[in-house]
Amino acid sequence: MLINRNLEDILLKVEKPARYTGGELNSIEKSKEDIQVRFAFAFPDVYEVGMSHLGMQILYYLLNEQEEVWCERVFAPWSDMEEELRKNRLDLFALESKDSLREFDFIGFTLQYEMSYTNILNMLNLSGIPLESKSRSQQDPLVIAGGPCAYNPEPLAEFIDAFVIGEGEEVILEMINLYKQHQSEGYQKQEFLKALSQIEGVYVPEFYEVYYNQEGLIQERVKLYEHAPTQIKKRMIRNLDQSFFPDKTVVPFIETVHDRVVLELFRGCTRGCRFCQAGMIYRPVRERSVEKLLEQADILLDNSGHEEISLSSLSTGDYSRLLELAQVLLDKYEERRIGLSLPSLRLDSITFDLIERAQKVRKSGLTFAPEAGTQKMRDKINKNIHETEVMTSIKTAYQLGWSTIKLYYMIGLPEETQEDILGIKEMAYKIKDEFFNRPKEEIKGNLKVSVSVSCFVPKPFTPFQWSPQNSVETFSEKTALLKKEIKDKKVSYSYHDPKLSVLEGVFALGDRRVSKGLKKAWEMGCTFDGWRDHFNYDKWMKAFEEEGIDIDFYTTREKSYEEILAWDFIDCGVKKTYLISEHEKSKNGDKTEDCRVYCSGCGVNTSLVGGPCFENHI
Amino acid sequence: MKIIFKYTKTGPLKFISHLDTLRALQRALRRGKFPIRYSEGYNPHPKLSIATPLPLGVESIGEYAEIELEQDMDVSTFVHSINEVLPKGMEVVTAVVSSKSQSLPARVTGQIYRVEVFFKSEKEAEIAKDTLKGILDEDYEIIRERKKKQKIVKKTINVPDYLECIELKEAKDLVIEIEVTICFNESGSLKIEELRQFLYNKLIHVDNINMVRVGLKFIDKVV
Repeated sequence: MLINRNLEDILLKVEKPARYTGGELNSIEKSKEDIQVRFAFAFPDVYEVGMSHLGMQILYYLLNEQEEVWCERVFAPWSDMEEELRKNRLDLFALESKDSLREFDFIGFTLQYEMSYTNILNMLNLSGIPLESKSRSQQDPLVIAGGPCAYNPEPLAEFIDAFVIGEGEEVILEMINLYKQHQSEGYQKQEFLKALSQIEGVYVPEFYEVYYNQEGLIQERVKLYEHAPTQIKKRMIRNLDQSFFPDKTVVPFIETVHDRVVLELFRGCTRGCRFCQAGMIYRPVRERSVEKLLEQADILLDNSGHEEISLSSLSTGDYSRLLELAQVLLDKYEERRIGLSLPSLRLDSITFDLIERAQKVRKSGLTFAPEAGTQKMRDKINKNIHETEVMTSIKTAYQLGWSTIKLYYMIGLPEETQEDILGIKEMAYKIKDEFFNRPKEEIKGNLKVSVSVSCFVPKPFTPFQWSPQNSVETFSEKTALLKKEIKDKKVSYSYHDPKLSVLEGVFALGDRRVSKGLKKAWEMGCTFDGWRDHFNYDKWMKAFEEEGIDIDFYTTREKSYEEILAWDFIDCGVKKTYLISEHEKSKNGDKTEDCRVYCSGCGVNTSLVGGPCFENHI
Repeated sequence: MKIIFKYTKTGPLKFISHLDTLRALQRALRRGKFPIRYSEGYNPHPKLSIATPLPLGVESIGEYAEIELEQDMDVSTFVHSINEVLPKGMEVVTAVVSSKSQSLPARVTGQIYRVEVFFKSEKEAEIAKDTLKGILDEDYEIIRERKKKQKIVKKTINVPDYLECIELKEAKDLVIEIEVTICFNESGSLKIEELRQFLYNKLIHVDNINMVRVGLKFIDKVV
């Protein structure tokens, strides 16, 4: 690890220099001479965000466990650092070795949200690496990508050599081993990519050509390499207890978004909310055992010194042994003042006693996500919560002394009416009234109800993948309506920027053609689009206009079931016929049961599991 | 029991702030499972304090902190155990049991820096050696600007008022090494950048200045 004089001078000028120094506790240094494969795990956002990502921590140690592999980390430099790097003609470097990304065999980007895409281009450019896959030579690193957004890889197809679809723990090692083999036999990029495309879950975009018809719809996808697979099947770890999990994590020196021990209770979700991509692509549900989780908590705390544990999953409250786990964790660590945080709890499965105990160590507000303001809409999106359940939970919460309530909603859901939007206000007001609707002596604390509204983005592999997204104008009318309506000192209201959500829609639902707009926007200076201060919608619109991209084609247009969607060639295990039937049920307001109650036949059991998803399944 | 320990903060750790340093120490203490005492009240925190903040970007071989433990512990065991869990760049060099009730930060009176001054020629280094002799005799005023609610507040300070002594330690070829003691007075302390500016202007033809904090001064003996 070398910080030379030049770099040191720069670090003294930039904000939060420790973003770039590496050397954190448990970070891994190896000597280059002994290394066969150098891998840069790239997170296309700032250090504090990237370091909060569990997936990075897992793959970092998994790769570094291989003796001949050195995995390092690189994050998007903040604009002040970018300016210094460019001014001083320095390449973007990986934190551990301070070597330019150009010196790596692999650069692996994680695609967590669409609004980080310009940062990917910027990071490649800052390292002097050509952006387009076809412009990169044999000597350039292989640029690969994975993560949830890889389920529609097409907007990035021009820039990425290979995508990994699904969970990475196994496939990444298969890729590395194949690479080593090719290295020893005289590495040829083309030959390697051909062999790579044969690994299940790997998508090499250059082996396919996409043709469009006169309306601009996809006509067909043609293979350019005969052995390239027609469908790319996602990868999945079958048994979480047996899968790799690190015994330590890199402990940052500076404050990050989430800086604590994270226990991943399970993957997948059985709820079947129709707007939720994670709920579809991570199927089936797979739980870790309590025993394994307790073992992990112990070892991770010992090796990090963290003061908090968080239980992380899509719907933590659904973990079959949650009570038992939380109780043991609280009993075990209360004395050491290690807090337990229970995020994304669903209000129909809240166990108040538990939260109350957890709150003793660290106090925070209660969060509910009804997602929609009326029962009709909640039925349509299959968010199976009834208002009476919410109110019962809130009542109990007030009785136990809570006075800070956060509520999350979406606007722009399919077939939404004004009544649904106003329903958000009504529900928030009802929750407020409930607080004061008690004997005076019971009312304690200062009530604060915060309503947070986000704009719905239809996502691939959800029953709403065919649904139109609202335009910026429609969203803005709706957010303005709520702003006008919610006028109460006790109820605060905030909403996401509709412009950002529409742009997110373009890249969530886009095909290969939107990549030109992405590149243009980056050339015009767009980076860190997910950051309010950086996001420049006008530049984006100009970029799309210059490239002749009509964003309404991707967002506000309703798609037919017959249309070939850009991501149809990816097989996430859930059948298209299931998504169609869910979409139809949504129109009628019909609900679908939780998978744990009744199997609705999404197809995951036959295509991925090869049997029922759970033991004792109905 | 209270333990005062002296530790280093070197390498990339010089780029982390006071609060980050405090957290790094707290986490090390947790990893080592030390019986830390916590404050009472709504939001208990470990009874750990660092004597005085170290400026960002400066390394130190003489930092001080004080920790309260629930149970008594042998000081040499403490030093040994904490060094096993500290991150690279931090090392406890000595520790003592403290019986003083006054907190460590309240006892600090000054800070000592070892400053290497690099010159472009040996002649310039020679001249600087002479300049050093009476460097604190003359007033040297600088204007300190501070942002206060959108407004910039200017304040003139006399640098030698904050400098207890500047002592030549070693001179070799192009480098002279001096020890500077900055003292705290009613109006605060001297910023490290102000010291740097002072030395650059006073010693003329300076090529580069490298500073390391080597220790602190206290109202009484600490370690």
